[in-house]
Amino acid sequence: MHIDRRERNYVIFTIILITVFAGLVMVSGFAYGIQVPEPFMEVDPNTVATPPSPWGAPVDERVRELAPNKYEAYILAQTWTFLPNRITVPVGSTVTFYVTSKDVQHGFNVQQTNVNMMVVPGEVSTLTLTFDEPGEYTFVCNEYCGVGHQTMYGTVVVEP
Amino acid sequence: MAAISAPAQTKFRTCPVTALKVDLAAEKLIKANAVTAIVFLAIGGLFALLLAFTRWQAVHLLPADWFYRLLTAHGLDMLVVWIVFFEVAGLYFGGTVVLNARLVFPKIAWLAFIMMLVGALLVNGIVLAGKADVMFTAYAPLVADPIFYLGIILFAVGALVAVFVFFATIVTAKKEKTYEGSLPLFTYGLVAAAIIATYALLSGALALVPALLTSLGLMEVDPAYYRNLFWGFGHTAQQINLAAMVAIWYALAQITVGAVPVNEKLSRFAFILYLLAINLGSAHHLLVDPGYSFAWKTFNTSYIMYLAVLGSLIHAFSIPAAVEVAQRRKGFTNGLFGWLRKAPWKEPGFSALVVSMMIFGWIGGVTGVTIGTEQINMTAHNTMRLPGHFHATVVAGTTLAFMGITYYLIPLIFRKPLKFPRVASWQPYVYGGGMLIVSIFMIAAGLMGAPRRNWQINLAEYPGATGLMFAIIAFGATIAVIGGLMFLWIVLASVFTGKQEDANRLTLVMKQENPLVEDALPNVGKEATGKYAPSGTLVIVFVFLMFFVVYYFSNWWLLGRAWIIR
Repeated sequence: MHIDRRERNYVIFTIILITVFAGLVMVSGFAYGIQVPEPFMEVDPNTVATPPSPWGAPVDERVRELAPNKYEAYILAQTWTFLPNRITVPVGSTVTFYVTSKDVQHGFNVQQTNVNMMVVPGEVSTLTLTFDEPGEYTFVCNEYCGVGHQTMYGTVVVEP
Repeated sequence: MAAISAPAQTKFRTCPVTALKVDLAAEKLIKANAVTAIVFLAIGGLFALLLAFTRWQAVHLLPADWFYRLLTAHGLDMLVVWIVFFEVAGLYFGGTVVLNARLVFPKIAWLAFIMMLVGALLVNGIVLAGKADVMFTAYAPLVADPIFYLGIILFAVGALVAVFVFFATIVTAKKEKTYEGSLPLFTYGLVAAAIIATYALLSGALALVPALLTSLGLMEVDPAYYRNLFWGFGHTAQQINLAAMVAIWYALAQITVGAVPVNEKLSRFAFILYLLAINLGSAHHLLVDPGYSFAWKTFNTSYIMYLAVLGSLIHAFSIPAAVEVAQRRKGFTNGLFGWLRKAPWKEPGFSALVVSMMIFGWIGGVTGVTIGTEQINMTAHNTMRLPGHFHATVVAGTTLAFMGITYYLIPLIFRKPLKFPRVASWQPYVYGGGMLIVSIFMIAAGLMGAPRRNWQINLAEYPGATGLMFAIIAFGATIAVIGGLMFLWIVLASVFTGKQEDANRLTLVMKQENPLVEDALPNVGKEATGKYAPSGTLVIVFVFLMFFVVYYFSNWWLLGRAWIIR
């Protein structure tokens, strides 16, 4: 197949470019640990909201302090609220979110951070975030879940 | 297969422009499918305007339930009904008129049309009745009325039947030797689209049949399984549009400036890359799903999808280079861009080609690769950056290309002269300009964090300019709707008024300053050298790649700001 010299150089250049792009995904994933939500655990959506499931505990006991400045938050997504939808932690805290749904698909996005994951019934979505600046961080459901979707949000209060 | 061996029943007319036979049955089907497509485009466009003025929260036109209802209908009418009907018209055109061939099984083609039409009406009816506020994606276990799924399945099966009529037609054409050599590039691109359509629609059936059974209470579909199969349909369906749009780009370049690809085999190879890579690439919808591993996501989206990206980048050089060489051969050899300055900017087919390619590539393509990058996706997933991306690809790209080719099909197929040519001359700029504003400011709102598919975001929680972004989107949508109305006006006036007359040459819409010359056709396969070399194109594509790199890396930087590595 005859290929024009300019076109051939261009195609070679684009192949290098997209190879670099693909390589970056690997480098940032394996060298820097910037990975995305991965399979963590499966649950039964019909029983996930009842004890002894951690999402069945009283709402104010679903945020647990594991060590100083180290928290885990079990958040249950349901139409159209998160429970708990107000979480208070001191500044500098590292919070691991464990989010699951007891009904339809939802989303969980802490604004202006990389915590952005799908919440699929039957599965647990998890990511960890460190809050270095005091203030209020809104988290929203960003997957359409019915006509009350827009009312589904909550706040992480980071106290100085 | 008696029908295949009985061509005697087919009635033809001879097209005075191409001197090719036009199967009258195919002609009727092309008309019916194209007109139905445009009717649904008009309905979807009306919904678009209402939605834009609802998300502009100072106006907040619709109540929440109607917002979600019309968003569902808008998505289905635009992404599926308008585009697939138009593509079916394109398949019948590329399979018969272009190949000098007859349409086999016209009755089955009519059956396909009726199935698609009934399916589309059922879906619109049940959504507007308020029984299916589930969005285009209809993620299980969110359930709609069974009629909703039934309608989509009926439409999809109808489209599948139409695709098989097309395949039977081109196989018959080959057998009956109606054309010489290999398939023309335009039809070749449509074959790629039709093959992609086959597996897109099968994947859709695998997702939607269990969803229908769930809706009837007969089973419970696994939500994660549904997501995977749905996107095998939902995204792959957009690649049907991609392949059809690129085929139309080549056609528009040839019609308006006589451009022929310098290396046609490479262009064909790029279509093969689409076929191989694009279905797996639809995994990029699942990048923040809890159910799939990092490795699975990386393989599908970063390796396989990039092969399809390579295909698009090949077309991104091949088409402008073809235009440049054709223009240079007409004598426009001044400097790097003399050929571009002297291009027929008033010809709607040419401006539709350029505007469609520019917005598709610079906005749609660049943002698509960027937000489809596994880690960057976490800053973008389900924000307004997504509709920003696909309004640049499917609307400013595909829809505008389809509008552009319509101006040339009206004299050929409807045998009516095009009315209001000066309006047509402006239309691609108005429509494309409006969609450019919509896309860019959707992306801007998304960068500020605004979620998509949301009736009301609490503006206090977002950077101050977020509200302004939505106001500008409504402004852009208004301009685009005006562009859409101009298109509708031209098409309706041309098709339904005036008397039929045969065009005796392939008519351009505007009187050209630079008429076509025989010399414009390059010697295919020979190096275009000296003053005929596509040097200007080389500069344009490298500027494009630099823009691509800058946008891509600035998104890593944005992720770096959001992500604190310990």
